[in-house]
Amino acid sequence: MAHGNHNIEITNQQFEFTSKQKMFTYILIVLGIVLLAAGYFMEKSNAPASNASEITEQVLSSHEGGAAEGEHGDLVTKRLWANLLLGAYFTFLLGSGGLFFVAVKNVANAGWHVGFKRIPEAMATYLPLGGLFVVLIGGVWGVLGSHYYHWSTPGIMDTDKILNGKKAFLNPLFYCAGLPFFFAIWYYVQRKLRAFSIAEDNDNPNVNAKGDIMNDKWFNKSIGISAFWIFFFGFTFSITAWLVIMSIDAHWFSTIFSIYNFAVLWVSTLSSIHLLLIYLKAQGYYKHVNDEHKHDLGKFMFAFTVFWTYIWLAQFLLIWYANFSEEVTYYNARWTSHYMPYFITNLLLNFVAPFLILMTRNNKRNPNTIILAAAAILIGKWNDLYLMIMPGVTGDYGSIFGAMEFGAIFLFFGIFLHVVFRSLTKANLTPVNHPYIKESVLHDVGV
Amino acid sequence: MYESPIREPLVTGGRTYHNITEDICRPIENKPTRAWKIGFTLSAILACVGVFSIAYTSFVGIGVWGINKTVGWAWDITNFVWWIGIGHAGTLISAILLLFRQKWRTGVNRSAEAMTIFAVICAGLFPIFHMGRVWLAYFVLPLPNAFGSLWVNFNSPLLWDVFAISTYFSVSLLFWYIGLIPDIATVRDRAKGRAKKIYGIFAMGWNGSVRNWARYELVCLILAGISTPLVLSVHTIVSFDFATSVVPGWHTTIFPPYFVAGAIFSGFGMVLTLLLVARKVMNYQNYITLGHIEAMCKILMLTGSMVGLAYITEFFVAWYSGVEYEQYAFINRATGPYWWAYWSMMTCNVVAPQVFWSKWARTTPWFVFMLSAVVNVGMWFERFVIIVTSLHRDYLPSSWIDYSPTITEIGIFAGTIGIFFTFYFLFSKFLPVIAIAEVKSIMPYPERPEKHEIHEAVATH
Repeated sequence: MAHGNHNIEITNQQFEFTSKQKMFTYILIVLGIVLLAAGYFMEKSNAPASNASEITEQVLSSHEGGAAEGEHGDLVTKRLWANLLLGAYFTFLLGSGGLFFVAVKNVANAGWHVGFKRIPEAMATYLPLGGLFVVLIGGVWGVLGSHYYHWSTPGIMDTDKILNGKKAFLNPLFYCAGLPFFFAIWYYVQRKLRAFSIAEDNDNPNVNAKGDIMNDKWFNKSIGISAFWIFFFGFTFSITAWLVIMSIDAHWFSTIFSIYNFAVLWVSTLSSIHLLLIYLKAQGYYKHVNDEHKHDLGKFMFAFTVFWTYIWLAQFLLIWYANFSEEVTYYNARWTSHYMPYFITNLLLNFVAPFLILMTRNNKRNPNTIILAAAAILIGKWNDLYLMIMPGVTGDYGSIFGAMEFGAIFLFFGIFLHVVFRSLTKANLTPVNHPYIKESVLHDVGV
Repeated sequence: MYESPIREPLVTGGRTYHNITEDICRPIENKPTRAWKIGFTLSAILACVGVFSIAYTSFVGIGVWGINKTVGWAWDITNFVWWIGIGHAGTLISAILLLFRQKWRTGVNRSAEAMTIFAVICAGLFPIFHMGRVWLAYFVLPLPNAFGSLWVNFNSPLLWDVFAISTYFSVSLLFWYIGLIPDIATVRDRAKGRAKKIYGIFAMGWNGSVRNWARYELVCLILAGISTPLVLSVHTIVSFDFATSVVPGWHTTIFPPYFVAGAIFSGFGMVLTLLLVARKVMNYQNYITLGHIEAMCKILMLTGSMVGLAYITEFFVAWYSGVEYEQYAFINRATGPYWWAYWSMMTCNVVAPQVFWSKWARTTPWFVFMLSAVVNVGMWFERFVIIVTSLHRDYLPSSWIDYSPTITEIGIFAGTIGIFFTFYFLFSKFLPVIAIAEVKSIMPYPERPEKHEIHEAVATH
């Protein structure tokens, strides 16, 4: 039976960032830059004159009479920018998701995940860099430099009455100073939680006669700050999602939008943790992580896939049902447009595929099916963000798929993986002195 | 399964397996106490007020209510949503917390599930009697078309509500009853005479065999899986009643998850109100420990903050949208004739639960009790604010009007509280208020080696 005397061996392994892995991340980064450049210059020289006027018209109509900004060359640059913003934002979501995972588990007093807790911890270390990329690309380039956000167009506030009404929120100061301020606090929390976790490794575990770790000082310390951050994150993440993504379609609004972005964040985080775990296990690490942990992570992916669909449906159904022109225009640009294939793919990859793949018990315990589901989810979430960003920036022009799209995602995932792997080397792979480590190693649900 | 000793025990006071059976069966086997008799009588009287008010409404017509052409929904739908929301804690505890393996749920799940069922019964009364001609209530069912061309409107979320709530009620009842079977068998085995027969019928021949237990656990897990989407879907569809419309203040995409969070919030408010009293009166401090109360307070704080985030999001986006009708609807909520309702809602639902950041607040029963009452009041005001303040000033200023309830409406609302407590008192007298078998399954493993084998057999069933 599950109780009695256990001889648990908690292997205290150290992750080694091999030169092969390093090379892989460098190749991703370089390949990303090459593809971005190649795509950019090819597109720029391939200006399809016949299409240009049509594109201009669409962009103009989607922006309700914005300034003359429809030249093809400009559109290509905008597409480049939008792809970079997507990559930066997506990896930033994964970084914040790592921190959210750690914080939620602390607050929930959970024990099962402790064995692989260092993976989300390492993902969270990407947070400062990810935040910096979002502010640099979105704020410095998109708002201050090239005015790619429609609301940041010079003089627009004088001509557009509705945008003028949003001036108190949609302004460069909020974007370039407010967001970094929030991210700095997130970063502070991330540093603290990481420091507590590592301090625990070096502290006396205070093992009692039965072999239980009784030192819960560092764990207790991390609960309060985790709770505070979740509270703070709820509000500041909403503002981030509104400012960085929702304001691309500056006239449009949806109250659920920040929760929708959170759903994207959470499902892709769970999938990334799972993928990293499977990879590290295949490399010979994490021997104590077994099918039970995988099963539970798989359940989480399944559950929050349904959650994402629920939120997607809530937004879509209510806007479609009411059919208000100022709201439904968002879906007109995405559904009844050149983006229709993306719209269909979105539901297939984010709901149908993972829902069916993760349905059975055995599939949740099998690394191969998990990889399949996680790949569907991550590609699906990229597609989801593409649908949120691209139509508002480039109009129908962005509905073609090319080298730039691959380039941006390779570049940012290269950087993200590099940071995560480097952080994994900085501490034990397993928090050996965590009071719940034994619970995690012996995790057995019995189903 | 190994459990770290730094976790608090879920059953305190050194209770043994036998003690648990004794403690929980005692109120069923003894004569009712005086407190129970007084409470039951008062509830029954209040329930009679409700029955009378409902009968009066049905005979005379809903003109006896304060609703009018502009404010067509008011206390009735407010109370309906309030009761439905209260039910959600039971489903959350029995389904989602089961899937999350939150063992503390075993101390509170039985009462919470019972509460769900009684709350849904109370909720269902309002839309049914709001129909006016209640004898035609079966028209909401999509019956074969034998009534001329009359057919239900499948596009209407009000019809989806009929399906959602009846499903919710059936599944909750089934889940509750299946959970009760082993405990009813325990009561049956201890009872004598007629009681043994009656409990025997409801125990459905339970004999505690391994096969019984294996099937029981499987069914519970499947029902938990079915109930989990129900927690979300029921209040989502209730929110669609409002959100699919074009009324400013109603048409907003955040409504579905925000209503669900609010429902869980109000449900835990009511669970705490009931259990803090039950635990004191029935001496269940060892089963519903301060740890249980603390956990529920944390859920209150979390869901209270979630509705707070939703309120602020709604307000912000109303301003941000630039739609003047939306903007007016929200300004009118906060500063119009019903400003007191809006600020009661804000204070009770958003500000008040923040006191639970303090451990003292979470572990002081009388204080938690007061706060739980505040939450119940706040969530009632939330629905009142959403419904009445959004309706009373519509697009046409000439039809603007204020609303106040009549004595009949107050009577029906008070009556549902009476009905709810009448059911609850009956439940606490005739059925085990705490899930005996489930609490036994989370007992710490015994220290005495000579009893080890027996206990292991029980604990691992």
